[in-house]
Amino acid sequence: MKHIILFLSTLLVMTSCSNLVDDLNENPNSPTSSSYQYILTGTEVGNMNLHTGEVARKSGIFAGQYIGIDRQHEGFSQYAVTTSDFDGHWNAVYVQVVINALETEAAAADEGVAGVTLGITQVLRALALGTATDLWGDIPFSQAGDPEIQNPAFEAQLQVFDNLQSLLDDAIINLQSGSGRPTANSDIHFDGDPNAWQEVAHTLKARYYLHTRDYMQAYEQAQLGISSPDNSLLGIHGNALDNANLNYQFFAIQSRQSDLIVSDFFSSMLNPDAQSNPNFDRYRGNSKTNEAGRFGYLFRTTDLGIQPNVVDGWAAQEAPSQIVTYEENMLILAEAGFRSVGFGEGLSRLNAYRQYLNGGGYLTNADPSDIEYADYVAEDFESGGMENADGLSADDALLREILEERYITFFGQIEAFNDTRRTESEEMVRVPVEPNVGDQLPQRFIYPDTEIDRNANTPSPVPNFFDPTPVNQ
Amino acid sequence: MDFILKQNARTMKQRILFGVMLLLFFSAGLVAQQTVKGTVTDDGGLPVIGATIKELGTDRGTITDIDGVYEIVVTGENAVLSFSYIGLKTKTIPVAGQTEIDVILDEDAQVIDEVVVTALGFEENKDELGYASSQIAAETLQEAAEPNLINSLSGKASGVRISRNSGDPGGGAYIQIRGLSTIDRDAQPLIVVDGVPISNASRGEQSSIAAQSRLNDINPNDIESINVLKGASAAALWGTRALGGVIVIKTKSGKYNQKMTVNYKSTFSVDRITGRYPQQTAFGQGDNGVYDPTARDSWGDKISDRSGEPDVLNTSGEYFVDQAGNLYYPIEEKNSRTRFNDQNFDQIFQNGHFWENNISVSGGNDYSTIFASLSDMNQQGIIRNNSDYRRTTFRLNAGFRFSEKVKLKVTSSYAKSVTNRIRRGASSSGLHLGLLRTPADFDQTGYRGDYYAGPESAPVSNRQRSYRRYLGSREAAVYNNPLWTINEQENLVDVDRFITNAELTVSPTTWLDLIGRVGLDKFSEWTQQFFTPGSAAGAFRTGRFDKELARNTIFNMDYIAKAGTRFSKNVSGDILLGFNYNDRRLITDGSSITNFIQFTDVASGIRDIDNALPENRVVNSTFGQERTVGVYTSANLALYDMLFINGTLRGESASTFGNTGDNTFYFPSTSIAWQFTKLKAMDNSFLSFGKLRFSYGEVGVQPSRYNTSNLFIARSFSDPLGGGLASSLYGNGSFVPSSQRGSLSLRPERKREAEVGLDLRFLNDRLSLSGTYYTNTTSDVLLDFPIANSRGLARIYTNGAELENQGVELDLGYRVVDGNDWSWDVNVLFTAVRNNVSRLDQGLTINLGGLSAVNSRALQGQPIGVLWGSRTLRDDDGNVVFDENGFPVQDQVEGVLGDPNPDWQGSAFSTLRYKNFSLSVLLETFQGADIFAGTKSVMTDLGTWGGTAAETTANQNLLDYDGNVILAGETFRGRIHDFGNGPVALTESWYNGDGGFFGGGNDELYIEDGSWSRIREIVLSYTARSPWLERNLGLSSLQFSLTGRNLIIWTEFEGNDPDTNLSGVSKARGIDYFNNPATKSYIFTLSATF
Repeated sequence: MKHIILFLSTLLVMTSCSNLVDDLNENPNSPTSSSYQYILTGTEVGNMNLHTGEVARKSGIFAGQYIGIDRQHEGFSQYAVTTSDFDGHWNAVYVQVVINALETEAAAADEGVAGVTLGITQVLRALALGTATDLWGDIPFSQAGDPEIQNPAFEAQLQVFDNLQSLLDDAIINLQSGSGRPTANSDIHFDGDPNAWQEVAHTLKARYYLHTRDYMQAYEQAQLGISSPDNSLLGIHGNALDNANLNYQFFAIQSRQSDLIVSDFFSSMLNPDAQSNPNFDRYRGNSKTNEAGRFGYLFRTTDLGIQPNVVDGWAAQEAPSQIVTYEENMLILAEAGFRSVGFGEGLSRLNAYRQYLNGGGYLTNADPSDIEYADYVAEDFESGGMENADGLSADDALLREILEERYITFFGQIEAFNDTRRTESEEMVRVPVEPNVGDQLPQRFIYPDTEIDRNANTPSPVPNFFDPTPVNQ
Repeated sequence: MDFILKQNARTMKQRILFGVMLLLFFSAGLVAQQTVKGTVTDDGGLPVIGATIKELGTDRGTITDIDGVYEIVVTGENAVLSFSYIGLKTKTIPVAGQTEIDVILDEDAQVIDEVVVTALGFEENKDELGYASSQIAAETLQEAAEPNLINSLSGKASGVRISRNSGDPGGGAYIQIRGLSTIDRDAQPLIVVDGVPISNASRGEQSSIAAQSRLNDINPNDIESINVLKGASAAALWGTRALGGVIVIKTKSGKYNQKMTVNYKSTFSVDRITGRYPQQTAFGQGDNGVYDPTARDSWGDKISDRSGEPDVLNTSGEYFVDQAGNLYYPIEEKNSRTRFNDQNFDQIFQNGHFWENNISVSGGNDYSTIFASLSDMNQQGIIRNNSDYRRTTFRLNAGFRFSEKVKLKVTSSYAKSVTNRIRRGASSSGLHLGLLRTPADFDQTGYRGDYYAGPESAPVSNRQRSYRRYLGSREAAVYNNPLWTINEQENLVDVDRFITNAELTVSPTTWLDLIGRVGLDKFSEWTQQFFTPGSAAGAFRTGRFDKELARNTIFNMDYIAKAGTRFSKNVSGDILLGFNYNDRRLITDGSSITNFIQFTDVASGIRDIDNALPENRVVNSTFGQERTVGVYTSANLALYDMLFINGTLRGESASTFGNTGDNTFYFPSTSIAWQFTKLKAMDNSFLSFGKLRFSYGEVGVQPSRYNTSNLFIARSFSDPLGGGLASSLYGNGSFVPSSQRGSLSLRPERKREAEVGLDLRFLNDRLSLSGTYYTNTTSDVLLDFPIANSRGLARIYTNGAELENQGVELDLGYRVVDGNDWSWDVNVLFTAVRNNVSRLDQGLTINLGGLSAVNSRALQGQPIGVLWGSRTLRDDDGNVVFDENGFPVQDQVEGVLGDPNPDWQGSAFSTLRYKNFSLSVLLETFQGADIFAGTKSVMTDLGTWGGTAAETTANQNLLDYDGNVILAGETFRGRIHDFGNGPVALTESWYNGDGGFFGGGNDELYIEDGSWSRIREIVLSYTARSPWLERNLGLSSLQFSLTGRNLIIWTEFEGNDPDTNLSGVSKARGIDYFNNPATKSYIFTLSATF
């Protein structure tokens, strides 16, 4: 009888089956919302990952700075790339930075915060999308980062550069407002310092004007750009495995370290040792210049060849990584100053940069005796001068030196690849990078598999690895 | 259940009838001419209670008592007696003057087979079922002598595919019934033990360590029968749990009024590696024919061309001292011709073995039954050190009959299993990867020691020495020295598991049963991984220690009311109504450290989670719960004893659908069986039984839990090909939107299946043939649909795709010889499945797992799991495009390379018995499946593959891959090959380029035929049964058997058993990439029954 009662009672339970399972599907392991300050931190870390890891290493390979000697990187060096090789990088732009920047804005707006916080997210967004358009050309811009839009439209690269300039203008206005500074510790770069962010925004504007060859505007913006090394936008690293410098992780920790070395072409420009330098004629040192300090900061010699210095230099565990720097701003001033104002401006800006280096610059581990960057004078660039042994015009010789200095300074940064493509047609002055195979230099990242398959608006046919992006056509 | 009750009633009736007859005989005062007495036992030596003894041609008869003893008065010396009992084979024996006749009745396999177990655990007559069901009996499982239950199912049931992942001790296997019916969700069958679903989880890393299957926690010796319910109709009562079919396992129990028996069984197995990958020994480490002691490749100098003098060493500078004190100096000139392949191999592999001991007791009296067992299985793998498996189980099954109306059955078991498995696959810290890349001229003996940069330098301790770092001069070993892999890496899994069920049956009237079942499956899985600092893979380089405790709980309740009655002479029926409550919970807590502060190694035994700075410690903790509640009903109708109709319906709600949408769904099924041979017109002796059946059913699968909301997580951003940044280590910590989003409203995936079948038996049931054709479609397939990343997300979880399967299953059984001394049975199974992903967004390919170069994918218009990777470029007409040197050009776009699903699979099981000897053989075949020979591809690239030693003299001028000319008459290392555009020379440059794996190798060139046929089992056994054993040792029977498993494999695939899988217990199959080797076994079993 007891069991009959039991059974009847379960019959009653049946009628409320659905109630028995209610409310069990709320995931207790993760929140469903977050305050803007935490999203902002995540956005900045995603941005560091985008700019200082494999995207920069691939750019370095395509710019002739690195040579892949094994496995995947060997293929990249042979320009054997497929669409899927770029999946992760495209993801880094949109899924690691763009949406997070937009979510920060939305969460901040919900919490009544705008102004500086909004400006910071706009700079971060402009930086990620600017890198994307530099690498891929036409990209989704206005419709990017909105999950509700199924097939985000691609916008023409020149249009994207226009959009970037106005986005950065908006950012600067917001940063100037002075209000809405993010809570302490949420902005890992400048702790919300609006002035530092404004300088970064101006340097970025200058960078993009340079890419569109609007040298006058680039020069003007750079004058408002990053004014001290402290205001460089750098990746910040620590001594944990998962916050270490990404090149340290790659060259010291991960097993791929044996796959990639610095190219002879690059190292020969800095290696002061005539014995080990494979092409000592290319060495940049002269009576005014000693590159030994920079060589030791950037590199060390391993049994595989020359590799980044993971011990106490550029790729050390806690070494900051470059995203938008004081050095870049100075070199924009040098190049854009030369191109828009003239020889004198170019030379003095270059010398300003050399003075900075001469004082140690960014070469954190260098012995002062290994550093010398004395001022160049106009005669050095005259035909037959120290920097013009092959008889170019003085203008070309100076520009050549500025471009080479940029190429050296931007070691392991995306900007080096932007430069080699932008200046490729300037045969006399460009850094003479040669293709590793065939007779063409890489011109872009290919659109990734993930976008080709899933976004009906992806350009078709997919531009080839050797097709220049519109701005370089 | 009903069936058994009926049988009991029948024997009861017979008992009374014969009692009355006996009385009649005596009272009639007929002259008793002779009395015969004796004992009737079954082939296990147990007394048969209630067996019928009849004198043929007369009305005389009797039955055996509780000890199996009978006594009968027969008409005379020439009388012939027949001994029969349900489920046992009837014997006829002439009295021939004997006064004492002891009889052993053998089991009648065919009769036993007719009772099958349904989805809810009830027994039914197979001949009345409208769907296909395969049963595997206890003996068949035990004959397999496999330490793992799942493996012993191989080749035993049509429609079932068991795919292993390696021969590692404790390794699991993937069970697939009737094709894959889902892309993302678990497609393995639901396992129901004694009416209660249990976990067959496969947790942990799938590809780097041979994955386990939790079903293997069950002691195979405890199993009485396994029923495989293949179709949707058979399984529909389990609703969203039954998409992959249901395997119903019944464990042994004691029988009422059965003498207590004790069985002891001991099994010892010697396990050996099935094969070795061919390695070349002609050329040394290096490239371009030049020796180089740090080169990756073995394209170096010809070893036989060396002087044979000792190597010239530079003893003035750096050096290395290994673990045994041996010194290694930089090699200036390699002169030694010594090859180390075999020595290196023997340092790693050995003959494995396992020893299993099992003791069980069973018995019963009038009101209770008991079955208890204890077992211990202790296995040492074929890989030395840190490769082992030990499983200890205890079971107690008890039954109580409080009255005819109230019965209780309790089954409970405890299992402890501990494994240690070796890292494998695509991991630079894996075993085979290091071993098979090692050049022939490298001696791996010194694997750990101190590095000295110069004679005066301080030692750098505990460096790994590997073939690419033979002086340990750098922290990175690149690939592990295999000795490091087996000595300095540990991966322990320790599981404690309790499964307990109680079933109470109350029968208030003869036609009604009320059944309550409560079951609990609870296990805790303790995982511990330890890497001595110095391991090759970056993630383990600085030392790594992980530990995790996972607690899994399944709580299940069923309340069932079951009523049956006979409405008239020709119509009977029964109906069932049930309620099911199923709650599943998984809690995990773990922590891991990297970057050890103080050096500790595996041997130290120290596992200190504080041996790292706080920022190098990661803690994880998860909680997961889901619940399903269902109401179900089933109705059977039998008409004229020949037409059997069944209908079922399950309605269920589940938590995983969330609250916002509809969360109640219904799953119907129906089946019809028509025994057309019951028609008068069909009455003939040739066709003894014929049944036509049809069924239709729907089953499903729920969404995975917690997919109805969007989450914010502390993301780690990974750097492709590099490391990554953990955002929580920065600033104020971070929470960003997960790149994967859920959907507010989700539906179950729903599989609709129709099947038709025909079961025929001929020649008095000696020949049986059963065929089934089915077709099914799974719609609303749930996926993490990848979306354009420019939308800001990577994936959205929702319903969308569709899959189809159709297949044929054939079962043929023939008792070729059926004599008293001789018998010979042959059973043949055939299975063919065609799978097709019928709807998935165009251009979308779902990666199911594998390597980054070659993986298994789902895409529209292809079978699920096709291999995907780089391939040869073809023009619009499908012709291969060649480069100017005559080599095929590689397509820049990846595509489908092959299909790892077999065209068909089959098995043949034959048993030959002569008196007490029996010989059985199980042949299994698997035909028309592709496999990616990834190991071969890499070894060829590196020049360690056996075939790469070939030297060829050019018979004409040839071009190599780089366009260099090899002149006629010139001898080169490589082969001449014609891709279709004239002969070319395949040399190092080809294999380092498109012809290999790295640097953009063309993967299509390494898609091979993974078909195999094998002797899965061969068993020779002898059963001794004699009065002498009984008297002197108390043994009612003693059985010896010799089993060979996997002894012979016929396959074109080289190096490993093609029944291997990189991706573990998973849908992604058909990739061999430095998997651990498979094994063959020689097994001796002794079984004694007291």
